[in-house]
Amino acid sequence: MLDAERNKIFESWVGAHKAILFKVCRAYGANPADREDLFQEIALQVWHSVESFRGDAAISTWIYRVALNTALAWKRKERKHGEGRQDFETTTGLLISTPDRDPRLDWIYQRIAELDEVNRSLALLMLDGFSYREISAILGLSESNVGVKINRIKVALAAQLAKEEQK
Amino acid sequence: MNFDQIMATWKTQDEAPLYGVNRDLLQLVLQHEQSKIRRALRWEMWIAYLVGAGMTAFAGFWLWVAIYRGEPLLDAVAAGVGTGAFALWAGAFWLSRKRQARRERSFGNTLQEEVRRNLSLVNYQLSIGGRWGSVLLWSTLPVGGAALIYWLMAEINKNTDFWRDGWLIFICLCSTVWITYSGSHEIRQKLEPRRQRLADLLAALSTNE
Repeated sequence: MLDAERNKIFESWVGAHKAILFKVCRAYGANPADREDLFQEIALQVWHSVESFRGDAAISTWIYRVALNTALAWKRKERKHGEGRQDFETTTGLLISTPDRDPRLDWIYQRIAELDEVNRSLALLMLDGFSYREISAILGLSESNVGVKINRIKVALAAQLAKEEQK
Repeated sequence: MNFDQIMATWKTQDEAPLYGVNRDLLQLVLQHEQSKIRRALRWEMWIAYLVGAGMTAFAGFWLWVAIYRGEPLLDAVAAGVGTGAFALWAGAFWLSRKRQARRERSFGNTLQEEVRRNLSLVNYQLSIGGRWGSVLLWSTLPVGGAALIYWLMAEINKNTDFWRDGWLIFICLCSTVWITYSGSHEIRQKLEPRRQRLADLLAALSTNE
């Protein structure tokens, strides 16, 4: 595949599905600098993945798979090398800021951030309406395992909601 | 909030823009980029002034030698043209820098004006080193001057072979043309995406106004 052709496909994919990338970045990046860093990494991996896309799944599913795998790998790497980023954080990370946001969305992201890394992926896919079968294909888990984990996430969310209501 | 509301809230991300531009920080970043470009330009200018002044003095010395020794008129003319070429080169750089500084001062302090100022700086960098036509224009004078001085020295020394001198000048010209061409290609590759990014940013800011 020619680079020009690949670039064209990549641009159309990112243009149409950038919301997926932003969601994954926000769920896995602890601060704006991390999110920007992760966004670059995911974009690079999506670009590399264009050639291996065979059309067996929807493009959104494919991008989710690449983005989540990249985020999980990035998170592991970040734990090793994630120190000493303060200067970078205070400069470039603030370049892109979220406009007036719904505080309820912040609340959801906070709950997602409290989950472990695999469950974070599950929560994102669940909220985006993917079926258990699709989630199991994306994350390489069995469908029954996906069902069990998603139920636990829902129970935990419901418990958090109830706690919020009581306040 | 119940679970359905959570899902509905989640969906709002797909409709509303997720990220906006932090204008204050963007302005700071642009100013930082401007000072970086200016620093690079200042270096280039000083190199041009120093090389121009040095070579003008060197060519001037050979002009003096040609006159003092009573060399043929053609040799004196060659040395004179060489001196003039280097002086003109340094002078043209100085003038172009002055014009660019005036252009930069004409922009205001709003975010869009800062982007325009950066765009003008990048265009200026491209006009000096990134466009083949302008590279030729800028390099013709010093290359021509150097070739003339070499020819003049060979003529004055008289003990060199005409064809060997011709070859050396030819190789000198070819290698200079090749070096300036590859240098300009590299600069273009570095600066064109930046120019495009700034132009896109300016267009996006104008649309959002």
